[in-house]
This record gives sequence, C-alpha cells and structure tokens, in this order.
Amino acid sequence: MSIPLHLYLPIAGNSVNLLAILGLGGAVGLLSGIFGVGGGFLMTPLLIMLGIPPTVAAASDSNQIVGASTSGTLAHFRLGNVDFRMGWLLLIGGVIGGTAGVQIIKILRQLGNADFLITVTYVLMLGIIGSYMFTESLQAMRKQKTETTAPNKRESIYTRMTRSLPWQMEFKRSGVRLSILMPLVLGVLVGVLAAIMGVGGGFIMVPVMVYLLRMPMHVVVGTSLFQILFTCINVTIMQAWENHTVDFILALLLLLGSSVGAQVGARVGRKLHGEQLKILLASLVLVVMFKMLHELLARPDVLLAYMGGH
Amino acid sequence: MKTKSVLLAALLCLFAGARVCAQDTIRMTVTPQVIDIGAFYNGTTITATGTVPADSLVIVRFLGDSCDLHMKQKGKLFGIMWMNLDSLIFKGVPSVCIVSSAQDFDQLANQAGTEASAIASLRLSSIKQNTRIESNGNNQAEAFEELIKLKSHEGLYLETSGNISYGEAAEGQKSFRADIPIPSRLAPGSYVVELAAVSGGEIVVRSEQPVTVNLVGFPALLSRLAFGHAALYGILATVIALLAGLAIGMVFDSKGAH
Repeated sequence: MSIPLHLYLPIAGNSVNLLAILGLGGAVGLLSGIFGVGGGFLMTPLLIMLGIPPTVAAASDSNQIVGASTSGTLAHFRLGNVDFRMGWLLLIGGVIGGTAGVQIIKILRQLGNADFLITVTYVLMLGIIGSYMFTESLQAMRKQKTETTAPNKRESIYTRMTRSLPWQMEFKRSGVRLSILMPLVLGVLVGVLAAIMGVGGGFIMVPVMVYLLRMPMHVVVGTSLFQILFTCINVTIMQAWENHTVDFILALLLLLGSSVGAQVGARVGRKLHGEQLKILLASLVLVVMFKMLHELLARPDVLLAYMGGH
Repeated sequence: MKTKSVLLAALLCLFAGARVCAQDTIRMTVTPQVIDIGAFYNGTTITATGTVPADSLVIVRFLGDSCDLHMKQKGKLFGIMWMNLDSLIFKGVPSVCIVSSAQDFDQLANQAGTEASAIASLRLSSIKQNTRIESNGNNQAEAFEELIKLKSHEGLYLETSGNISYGEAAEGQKSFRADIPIPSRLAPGSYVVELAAVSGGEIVVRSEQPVTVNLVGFPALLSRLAFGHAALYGILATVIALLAGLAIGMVFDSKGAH
C-alpha cells in the first residue's frame, strides 16, 4: 500500500505535495529560528509558486507563524533570550501603528499608485537596512580581530537624546536603560510600515531593536519572535473571519516543518556570534531586496494579477 | 396557395426530421458524473464514451461555470518599472476549460481546411467571443491573451490532444472514447462535459452531460467550518497552532537537544 503524497486543501482549492510543503516549512522555520524573522517574505511567494492563491498563501502563512514563533519563543525563552518587558511595549506600539497603517494604506490606494509607492519604499528600506547592517557588522568583526585601541568614551547625540527622555526604565534582560517612550514610538513606526508593506515587520523590527534600542542580538531574536507571535494571532483571526483565506491544513503542514526548523534554528543561532548573525541577516535582506528589484525591472511572465493578491 | 403551404409544411417537417436524425446520431456517456474531493484528491480523469457520425471529428470540452474576474493589468511605469496599473473585470469567463482532441490542434488547423473555423470556435481562444472586458485601460486584446496565459499557468485552461480514440466505423457511425484530465485545482460546483462533432466545416451535433464536483469527508467539514463559522474557525486555527508550537517546543526540550 502506497502512502498518499498529496493532500487536498479545501480553502486553497488545490492539492499539494506533502513533502514539498513540509520541506518548505522546515527551511523557512530554520531562518525564523536563527534570525527572529517571521519568514513571510520567503514563504508567501514560494507557496504561490506551488499553486496556492496569493491571499490564501499570505493568510495561512500567518497561521503557521503563530505555531513557529511559539516554538521559537519557547526555545529562546529557555535560553534566556526573551525580554518580555520590551516585547510587550513594542507590541502595544505595533498594534497602534498597524491599525493606523491600515487606514494610511486605504488613503494611499484612493490617491492612486499606492502599489508603486509601497514597492519602492520596501526596496529602499531593505537596501538601506541591509547595506548598513552588512557594513557595520563587517567593520565590527574586523575591529574584534585587531582590538588594540581604547573604547571611545564620548557619547553620541542619539545616546544623549535617549537619556534625556522621561520615564526611564531598566530592561534587565537586554541590559539597557531606556525611556518607555522609545519602544512604544518605534513599535508604532514599525507597525505603520508593516501594515503599509503588508508584512509581519520582523525585517524592520530586528534592525530597530539592534541599532535604535541597542539590544544584544540574541535577545533581539527571541523578543522579535515573541512580538511576531501576537501580531500573527491577530492577523490569522482577522483573515479567517473577514476574508475566509486561512487554510488550516496548509498552515498545520507548514507548521510541522517550520516548528522543527525554528528549534534547530535557535540552536544554530546560539552557536553564531552576534556579528555573524547580523551579517547573515543583512545578506538575506539584500538578497530579498535584489529579488524585488528584479521583479520591478524584468518583464513578468504574465501581465495579469488577481485583485487582492500580492 | 394552399398547395404551396402544404409543400412548405412538408419541407419544414423534413428539415426538422433531419435535425432529429442528426441529434440521434450522437450518443455520449460520462463516467463518473460526480467527482468527490476527499483529503487525498489530486486530480482525476473523466471518461466520455459514445458514438458520432463516422465522417466527423470529435472535440470534447470540460467547462466550469461562468464567472467574473476582477484583475489588475501590469504595465511599465515611467518606462522602467513593472507595476499593477489598470483595473479589469472579465465578465462571463468559464472557471475551467479543458479542450480535448484526437489530433494536435495546430495540425488540425492546417489539415482540416473547411473544418478549421468550426474547430477554432471550440478552442480556448474562442472564449473571447463570450467574454466582456470592462477596463480603464486600452489593451483589451492583450489582456485576453494574458488571461488565457494565466489560467493555463494555473492548469485550469488546457488544450490537450491524443486523449480521444476512435473505434471502427459501422453503419455510418463510429465509437469514441475521451479521457479528460481533470486538474487538482478544482472547486466544488457544477461543470459540463460538452461533445461537438465537426464535419463539413460546421459543428453538426453537440451534446452535454453535467458533472457535479463535491467536497466530502474532512475537506467538506473544514470548508463548512471556515465559511459557516469563520470566527470560531480563526480562533481554533490559532489555538491549535499555538498548542502544536508548544508541543514541538517541549518535545525538543525533553530530548535535551541543547
């Protein structure tokens, strides 16, 4: 008796190869566990390539990220890498920003050419963040090798400014002291951008935590996963309720792969230095940026797209 | 005058009789008439068998219900970047269209001579005749070509040849058998298998058989929950994902894989 390798997905309205979906989940979960990103930027286009309608691919991916980030958060929590205090503040800001972002995107669409604006902003942001992280990490790695000079005691304007803000709070897990306004406001900004771009926000949140909140890279990954978990719970319920686009079977299959991948990823990430993690994430960000740039400039195979898709 | 009327009536009767004869010369049976989509459905094959006039070519089409498609057409912005620009609505597009023939369609078009136009009226390109495009752009002809390309890419539109075979001709009739490939990307609903016999440059007879596609078992249960109790479905999907994530996390922890 042969084992059936295909499974019909009733919401996606198509059948998929079990091994392909499990493998895809595993690969994206690995990246998620290493870098603390949701992986939607990779998963959604790959699912579309496998014949899943774009809206179902995006919504079901959010559903699987709930499971993967639970598994990843748990793994990072055990390793002491989740700053819950910081995570909650960023999350509150993210929810406010996300709600505002949805309204902004509505206005942008009414003005016309919103898609162009979104894509160009996306490419520019990925390009700037990726290049900055890459060069900064490269310089830091070189410095570590030839560290002979005394550390610079002068405080930057940014540091002085953040110290002058009210409601300073100790974030023990991250080893930083900041005003609670910082994570709240940055959370709002990331939430707005994530809603406009239609992504979970991990790609923007991680650099924000590293460079603006000055959190150590390992704590950034765990805290980012914790925050992504709640964002995706909200998206899953809303998408299932309003658009009927969550395919639970697809999500569960992806989840089986990605949860295992996220666990392995958390352990792989632990073995890498912070700067190595940053440089790898920067490379990934730049690869995605070039892919998007290519999609913008090269003639698509088909010049039609379903309304509501990506 | 009376004689003329009688003659006309007799001619009409003769013509009607000929049509009935033509209708009688075609026979088609489709199996299965109901496709059940269960958890392991991955496409299937429908078999249409029957008889047609011996001198005719058979074209068999599997057609889905007509629907309206809301789409975006990509174009170049500032002459550099490809973006979604114009909005389009395709009205009256069949959701699925699988056209089958014994011979390659392009070969048929070259060889068939007078049959060519009749065969062309059954091919994918003929969908255009029954489709209305509402657009805020000007490239409607190109848009239709792109629609065929997109649907073909999804496996929902297909021209396939070699899957119809004929039996020996006897008493002006010949038997046929068509094995129609049904795609895995299939939604529940009503479909038809349409048979057309082409002879003498025209479609001499047509016949249709309905095919019903149903969701059964677990896919049916899940679909009812997702569309009938959407909020509960969303919450359940979230809770199960959370529990699965926790369980996998605990399994890894208990194995001490540090």
